[in-house]
Amino acid sequence: MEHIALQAEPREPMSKGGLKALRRGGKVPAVVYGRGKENQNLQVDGRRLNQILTAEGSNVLLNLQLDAAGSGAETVMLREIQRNPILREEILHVDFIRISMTDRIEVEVPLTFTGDPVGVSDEDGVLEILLREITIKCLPAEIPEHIEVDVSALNIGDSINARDLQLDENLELVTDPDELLVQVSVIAEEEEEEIEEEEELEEAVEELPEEEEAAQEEEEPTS
Amino acid sequence: MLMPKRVKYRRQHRGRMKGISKAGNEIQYGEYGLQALEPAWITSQQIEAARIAMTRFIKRGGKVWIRIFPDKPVTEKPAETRMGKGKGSPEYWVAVVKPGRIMFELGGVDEEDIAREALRLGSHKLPIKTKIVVREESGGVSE
Repeated sequence: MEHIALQAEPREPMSKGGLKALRRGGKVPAVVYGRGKENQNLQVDGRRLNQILTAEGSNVLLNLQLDAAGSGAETVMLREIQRNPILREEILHVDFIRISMTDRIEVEVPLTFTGDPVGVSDEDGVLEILLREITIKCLPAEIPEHIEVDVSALNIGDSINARDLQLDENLELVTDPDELLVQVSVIAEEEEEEIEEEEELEEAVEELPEEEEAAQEEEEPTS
Repeated sequence: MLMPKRVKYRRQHRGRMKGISKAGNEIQYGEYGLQALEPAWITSQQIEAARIAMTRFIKRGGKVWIRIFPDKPVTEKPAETRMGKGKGSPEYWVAVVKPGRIMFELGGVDEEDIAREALRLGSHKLPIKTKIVVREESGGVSE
């Protein structure tokens, strides 16, 4: 995995208004910490950060350059990205964590599901993906982009657990081996169910308020 | 329709809908989601109508998750009643939705176009502006 350079500038702790002004100027407030060193407040270019995330994903090794000459570079990874929940492309803040290339780290790696399950193509099953990323332990240079899971052999009622994954020798599974990743299940007929449900619930709606009102009046003495 | 099985108090204050949704603003289960862009009370009827619109369109080719629950009772006074004499009786249930909330999710759909059309049909049953969102790939160092 190659290292990508990212220019960062030191930043003084700021008020909410100061940070908003910073974001308006196209910068993203950030912090770097880890490996027993002092944490440091930074600011990075928002467009460059978005470019890196779009091209490489969030499991990327960064060379964080704190001065223009690039002499004080640190190897970091992204720990947390805070985004605006409505405008997802707007990054509010990022956490970088210092890493060593010789120490194993725990990372979340996305799973990609390949193949068309037999239970979906031949029968009326639906592929349910229950876990989309797993945590593994490995050296930073050995982090896979994604882990492939072949689901083509799955029939209705079949499932794949984390322990069934074929991982390389250098990757250690941290996620619970019993964790269910994917299963093929049957979706019940919708039309008939709907009619029955509607009838039942209409009765329940009328029953509930009356019952509760009576109970409430008993509990609360009227003045 | 969705409603609580039992509640501690039958009548609630109206409350306010300031700010954005702090929780439930990311896709959890499916691949596509319908996100609220405005604050609103979504009634159990509207939730049910949206669910039916989506499930009918995708037929058996996917699954719908409802991420909001109508747990707030709304009271109304009977027609032609003079003011006073206490608060009205609960008439229906609503879910309080703030901007950013993922209200519905869709998964197991073969094509993106089908998912988008299903969510579009579902969005027309709701009283607010919405946005269709697609799951993002996540990752990152956990330790």
